[in-house]
Amino acid sequence: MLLIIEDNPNIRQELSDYLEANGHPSVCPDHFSCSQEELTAEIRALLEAAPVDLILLDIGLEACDGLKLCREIRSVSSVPVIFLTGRVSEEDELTGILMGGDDFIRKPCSLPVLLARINRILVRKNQAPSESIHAFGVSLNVLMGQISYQEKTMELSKNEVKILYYLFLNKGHVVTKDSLIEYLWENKFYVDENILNVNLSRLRRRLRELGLENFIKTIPKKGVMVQEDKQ
Amino acid sequence: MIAFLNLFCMIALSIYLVLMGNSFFAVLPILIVWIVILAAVWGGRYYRFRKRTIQISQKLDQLDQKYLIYETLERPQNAEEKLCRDILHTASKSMLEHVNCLKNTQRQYKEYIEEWIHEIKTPITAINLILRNHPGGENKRIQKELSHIDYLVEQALYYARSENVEKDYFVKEFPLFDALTPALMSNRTWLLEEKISLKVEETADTVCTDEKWLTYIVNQILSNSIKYHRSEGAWIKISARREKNGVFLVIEDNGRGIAPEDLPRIFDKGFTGGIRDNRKSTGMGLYLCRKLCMKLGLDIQAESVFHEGTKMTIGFPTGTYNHPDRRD
Repeated sequence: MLLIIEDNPNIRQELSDYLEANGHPSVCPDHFSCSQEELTAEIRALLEAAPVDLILLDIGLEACDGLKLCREIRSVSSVPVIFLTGRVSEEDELTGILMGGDDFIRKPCSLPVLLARINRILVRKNQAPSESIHAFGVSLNVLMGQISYQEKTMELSKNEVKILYYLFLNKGHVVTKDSLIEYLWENKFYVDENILNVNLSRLRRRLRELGLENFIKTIPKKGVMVQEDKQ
Repeated sequence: MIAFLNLFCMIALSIYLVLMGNSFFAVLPILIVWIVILAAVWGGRYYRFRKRTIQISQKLDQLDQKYLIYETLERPQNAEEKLCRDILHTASKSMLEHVNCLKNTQRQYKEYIEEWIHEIKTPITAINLILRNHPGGENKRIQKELSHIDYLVEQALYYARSENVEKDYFVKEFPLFDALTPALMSNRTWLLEEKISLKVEETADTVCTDEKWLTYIVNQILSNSIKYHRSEGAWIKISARREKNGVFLVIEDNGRGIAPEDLPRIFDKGFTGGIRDNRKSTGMGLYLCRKLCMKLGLDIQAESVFHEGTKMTIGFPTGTYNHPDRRD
């Protein structure tokens, strides 16, 4: 469960719809004309009522200050906080991190990037510290650039790891080519759709060597996803 | 005036004394003594006056802010000087008040612009999210226009800030290519749509500067390269090389290029060039680039072969000056 604290109703709505569609249901407080104390009390009540995994927090809330709110949250809970803000200076970013934020995303933000960061924080939070990420019995070691399945291990190229990592983060959900491309650009792999397709088919070929026949599935007109490999 | 008065008195006294029966030779010593005393007094006064003017003009030369001269003046020595001094005081005071008033207005305006830009980001983000979540026929086109709005808004922000970069910047050491990613990201849809192939030859070079300002500069250069791309087989190449005196970031394209007569003027404010389709051009982009580069102590150079391509080079001097930890 995510908690979205954002005063613009449209942004709140769209963020919550998008995240819901990608497997993250959320709660969103929807009145911000109250004082800082009232808002803090409301957020604390929400944190106690439901198990919140992560908070998306806007800094400029109507009458309140997101940075102060973050500090208040930190005093009662260690839930990860990602700041969303229209401000661009390094100083604000630094203040955000000092107030106990885990990440800082600038508006207008890219949704796939936001999603990837949320997933990354959640994966890190839920797993014992390790460099590997798992999906359906396959594990991907990001640092070593290795993929293992049923005792077999194979080296992957840097770019192949980047593609797989995003698919792993979104396991069980369809990833559109657009959002995959957006994520890859953010990670310095500047592909267009043709190059992505070439990379995907090469990746599939290599996974076949591991015995994974149908691990990356193409859903026509929608995108790709990783799924249980049914032989 | 005083000279005439003295002369008149001298003549009147001599005539009077001669008429009273004194010989002219008896009067002569009086006149000589009179002239000598007068000359001595005037000479002394001239000497003091000259000394004072030289002193004041030297002080004036040494001052950075000439209008502060009033503060350095010594006590007035006579009524005339006092009057001048008072006039100077009133005049400079009223000028300072006026300047301060303008400075205040300008500062408030700048703050308002910055605040406005942060505010406008909210609706831009909202529109962007709505478009992303509800794919439909015209979304791509709206999104493209929206990213152009965002680009122009950023330009306004950086222009408002460019006046006092030194107050806003945050120098640190970072991998050069990290600053490129956000710039490439914001031009991503445009690049993909125009089918411009992008060759990024990443290196591990690090530079010491303000990352956000650099991203902005690269963004400006990239958007020019995209705007003036050729219709077939367009490419943009980004590379870096390390030399003895610094790291150089090179952004090349095979676009329309710049006419040789325009090349020296592309960094001028408001220059939009001859052949270009100027509807979208504000003549601000490259001007801001050079201004920011100068403030950050970076070097920016443009080379171009007309109709064949443009090559922009940003130079980051290696030295200790900009390094936060190595500065003495």
